[in-house]
Amino acid sequence: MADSESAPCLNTALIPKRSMTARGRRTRPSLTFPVSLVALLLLWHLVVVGFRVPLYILPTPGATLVALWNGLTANPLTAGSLLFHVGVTLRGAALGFIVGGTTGVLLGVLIGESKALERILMPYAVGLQSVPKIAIAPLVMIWFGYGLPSTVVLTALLTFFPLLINTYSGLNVVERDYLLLMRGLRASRWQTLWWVKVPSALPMIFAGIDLAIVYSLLGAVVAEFVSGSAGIGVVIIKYQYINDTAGVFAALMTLSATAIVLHSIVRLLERRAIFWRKRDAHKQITATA
Amino acid sequence: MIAIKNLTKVFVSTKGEQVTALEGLSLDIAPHTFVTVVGPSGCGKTTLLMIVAGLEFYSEGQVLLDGKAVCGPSDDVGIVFQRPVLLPWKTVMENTMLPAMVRGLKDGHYRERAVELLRQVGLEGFIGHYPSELSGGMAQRNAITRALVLDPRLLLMDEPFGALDAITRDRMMLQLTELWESTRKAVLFITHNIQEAVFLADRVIVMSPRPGRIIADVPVDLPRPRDLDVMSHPRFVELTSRIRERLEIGK
Ligand SMILES: Nc1ncnc2c1ncn2[C@@H]1O[C@H](COP(=O)(O)OP(=O)(O)OP(=O)(O)O)[C@@H](O)[C@H]1O
Ligand SMILES: [Mg+2]
Repeated sequence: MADSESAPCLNTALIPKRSMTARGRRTRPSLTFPVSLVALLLLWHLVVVGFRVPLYILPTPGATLVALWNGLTANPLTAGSLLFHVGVTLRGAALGFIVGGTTGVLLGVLIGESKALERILMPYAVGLQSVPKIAIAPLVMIWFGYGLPSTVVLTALLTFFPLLINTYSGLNVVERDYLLLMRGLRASRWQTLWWVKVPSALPMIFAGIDLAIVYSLLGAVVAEFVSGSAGIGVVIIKYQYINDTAGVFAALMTLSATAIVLHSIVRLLERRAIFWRKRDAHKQITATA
Repeated sequence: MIAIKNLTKVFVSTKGEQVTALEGLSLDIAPHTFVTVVGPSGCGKTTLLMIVAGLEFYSEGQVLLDGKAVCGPSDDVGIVFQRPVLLPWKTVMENTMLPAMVRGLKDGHYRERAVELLRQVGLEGFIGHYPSELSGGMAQRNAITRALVLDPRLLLMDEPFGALDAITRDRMMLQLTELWESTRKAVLFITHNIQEAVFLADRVIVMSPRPGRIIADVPVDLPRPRDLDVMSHPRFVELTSRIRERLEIGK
């Protein structure tokens, strides 16, 4: 701060705006986030100790960290390891995401391109989308049995709709001028789809992927709640049963960390895929269930 | 090259009202001539261009391109829209090559042609860049090379310099006349800038407010090649004021 006071005014004016904001962005969060995190943990600890909250209602941050440490350092091939269970949950989520996501995108393209298909399928898509899919979990168990198949089906159902709807609407928000250009060049339908509509739809499709990532974890965990023999959902139920709330917290944290990692990977891929977009456009965040 | 007879275009608006955009418009454009169209906003200039481009239906009359009725876009016609409409995910070179790519013509001949066109408009240093890295004027020049890459015999331009500042506009006008003098394509160029219309044209067509009709057809007999000094030529001043008068009477 002292620097900017003693420096001549001209100097700051000459610094290109971009480098200033880039610096501001990089330095500020790296300081504020750890500070606020420590403050929060401290507050948490004081509340638990100060109000004598029983550990099974709210564990101290220390107890949670111990549970987390034990869970993460256990042999990852055994049921005591959180990593083992994250692996199981991820497998179910990933398989369901691949099945549901790909069908969603492909069907979204078909509905977006064909007026006839749109008229036939859209009412069902809209109707089914408003069904709370989580509520179907028990039904899915009845139809597909216990374990992985049910997890995959439920996850696929959950990830299918955001990608179907986002792909479909993405293809429909293409600027009219681009379509006029392609029509003027007598481009084929396929060329227009591939060169203009799909690239235009990519931001929407990635927003759908982002949503579907969280839904896929949600689907896998709920399936595990209902019927699983392993996975983070099972761990949460198990610890809840024995009143080990610190264990539940540790499991939830692992799950959130997984979601954050997946989210960052999607963001990275998105930035690669939509390389022409201005940086700030990537900053929007969507809320998920 | 183009023969338009008694062209009428009626739009039906979303409320169901009929809007007559063009009424009984007749216009012939000979090969190798640069024709500019001026007229007040909303008089149907874009509509006229879109009809000639085969991108808009018409209600009555006849539009012939080399004696054949226009009923769709043609390779003989290149279009430059009011906005550059460059694909942001394609490079400058790829945008220029787009019409060739659509035809599956990716051989060396068209690549060389694209590079040559980009050189002529001063974009040779930006071949691998993306449109987001171009200024407004550069983007519009990129769009012009795209319209020319298949070597059409007719070029349609809809206020291509409308969004540019005065200095850039002057430079673009100059570059366009140079480009035109070396190729001598038939051009139908729409603008609402009278100076631009006279500077570029062999003939200036003046349109009335909606429904659009032709109210004057002014031959421009200024010598070519032209540079910006032409604008202080007494004849230039005379022509621009005559057109301005016509536009006033049209109101
Ligand atoms: N798709 C449409 N549906 C209904 N009316 C239309 C449509 N397109 C144009 N019009 C009407 O036709 C008239 C002529 O429009 P046009 O775009 O050709 O004007 P213009 O001369 O190009 O105007 P500007 O100089 O502002 O670009 C306008 O009154 C407009 O409202
Ligand atoms: Mg217009």
